[in-house]
Amino acid sequence: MSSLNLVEVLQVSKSFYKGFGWKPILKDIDFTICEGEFVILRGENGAGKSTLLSLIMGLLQPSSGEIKLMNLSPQLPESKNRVGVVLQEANVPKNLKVRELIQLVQSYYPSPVPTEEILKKVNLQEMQDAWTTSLSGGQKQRLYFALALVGNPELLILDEPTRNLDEKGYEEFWTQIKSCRDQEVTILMVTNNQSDWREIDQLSTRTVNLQKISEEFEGRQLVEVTSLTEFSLEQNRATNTSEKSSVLQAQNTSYALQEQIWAEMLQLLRTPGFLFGIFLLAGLTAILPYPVESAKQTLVYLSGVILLTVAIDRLGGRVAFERAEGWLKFLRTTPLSPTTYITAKILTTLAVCAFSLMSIFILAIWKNGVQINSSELLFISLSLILGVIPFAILGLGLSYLIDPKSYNSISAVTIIIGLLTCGSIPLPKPQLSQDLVAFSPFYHYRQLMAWSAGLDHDGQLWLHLLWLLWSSITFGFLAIWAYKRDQVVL
Amino acid sequence: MPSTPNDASQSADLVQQPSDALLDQAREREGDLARDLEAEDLKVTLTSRLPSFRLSRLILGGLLLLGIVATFFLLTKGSEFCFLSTCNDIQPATQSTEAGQFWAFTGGTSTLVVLTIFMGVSLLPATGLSTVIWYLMHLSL
Repeated sequence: MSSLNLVEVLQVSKSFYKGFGWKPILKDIDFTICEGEFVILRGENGAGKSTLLSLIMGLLQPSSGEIKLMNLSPQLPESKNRVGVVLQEANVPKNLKVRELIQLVQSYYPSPVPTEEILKKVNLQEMQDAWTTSLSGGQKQRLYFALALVGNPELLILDEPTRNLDEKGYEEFWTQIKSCRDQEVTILMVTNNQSDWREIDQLSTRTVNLQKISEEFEGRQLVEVTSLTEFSLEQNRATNTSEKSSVLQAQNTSYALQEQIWAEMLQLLRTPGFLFGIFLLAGLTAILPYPVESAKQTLVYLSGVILLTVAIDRLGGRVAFERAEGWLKFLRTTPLSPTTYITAKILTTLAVCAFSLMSIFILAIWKNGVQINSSELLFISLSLILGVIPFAILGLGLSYLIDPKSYNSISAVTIIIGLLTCGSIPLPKPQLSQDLVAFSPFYHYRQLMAWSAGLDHDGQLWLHLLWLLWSSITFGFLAIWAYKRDQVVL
Repeated sequence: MPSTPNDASQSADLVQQPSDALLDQAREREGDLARDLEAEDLKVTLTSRLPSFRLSRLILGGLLLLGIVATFFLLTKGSEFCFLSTCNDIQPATQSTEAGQFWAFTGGTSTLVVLTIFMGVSLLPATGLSTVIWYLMHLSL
């Protein structure tokens, strides 16, 4: 019966582009998981086990076929309200403590398990105030399991969960799995760990073998093996339906947003390199000597460069970093919507931009005696922030488009291109190179800055505003395309 | 599978080896293993300490710089003292030559490229340091 299927994979195929052609990994897979089952997914390396899990969790989109998770598309955040996941390759944020991280992930779910209970379940009470980076391999694996349990899941998807576990952690893990089974939590698990077979023999209801597609491959790729434990579908139907309806609640988006912003701010304050950069750049406006007659000009242009760097580094840089670490992949397995995630990043970036500008102007007025009144200050600040929006969107698009490890270098090159094409650097002849500058959004940003501060400008304000709007839309499409592409080729 | 006479003789040879020699071999292997484990432990300890050492060095450096800047502001408030000696001979920006501007720009951007691409420094501190280089060159050229 469809309503009892927590996972439905219907005629799903997935191919990846490798070398000079498309290489099929999964072909016409039909696969369902009913409530209360404990399914083991097996197969040799490269058979496509992790790809199949990624498709089920909505991390990838199938080349053909349809997938349903909790009767919804796995791309929808709501489909993950009662799903807990342990990924094979994911790192947690470095600048958060164990308790803070669990509380953050709790905020994504409509009916989370209390923090104390989770910490007790995975035996991490003593480590609750430890940095996530200070945990051993086994403790980290227990933390990942805690994050999977935090949403009070109805379905657990576990990809090699016993990897890196020490003897004690291993025993605790299986105790937890037994407890989950007692509570009739449905489990889909991938494991290649030989020592798991003893426990699996006792607990699993079904084993599914995934064959690797090769040139000689013929027949079905997915072969289901016998039911190992007696499993009663009728019994599960009676016990679970009433409980499910009472637990599911509307998702508290604003609470998730608040917690996300709080976590962003904590991480920001605990990143010394970033703080050093902010204070260095803000301090430059006061330390560096510049002539009084050009003080305002220097101050405004320097603020523009600082804001550009903050926007690109803080928004796109953070996304690229979390993508490289695998944390973004984990977040996609939770009910946190991409809109909430990006909104939190944008609001934090705006706060940092406002703080940077305030510091720069206070230092400049106090130390260098720049003559500027408060309404003018507000007007310049708003224009600077408005003008930097297209470049923040560009950074976001680049963070999804390029290899996250190269983001730092690419963004540095972007800033250099920006400085070169903003019109303040004399370009060599021919005239064409100077005319081309007018097409650069950086040039229009500079003109907007000049206009807002009453400096020498070309008087084409509407053209500059329209050009920046056009750039925002173009970069916005690029960011959306890159985000969707990331889900296909992840 | 039944053993051949050749296998049997080999087994007999093994049995007949002096027990002291076997014990020595076992001790030697145990020693090697212990040394390997010790080396592995040491490597793990060093690797885990390295990032925290870098981090604390960075924090210390940042605090030191902040301290210097704060002291400078406290001491020089209201006076004509300049942080950089070049500030007494400031040329108005409009008087700097195009070649001077070009070289200052090249210096600043090269610093940014070296710091971010070759040294892996984060974008924000790298931009700050590049701006310092650009400004110093801008004043001196």
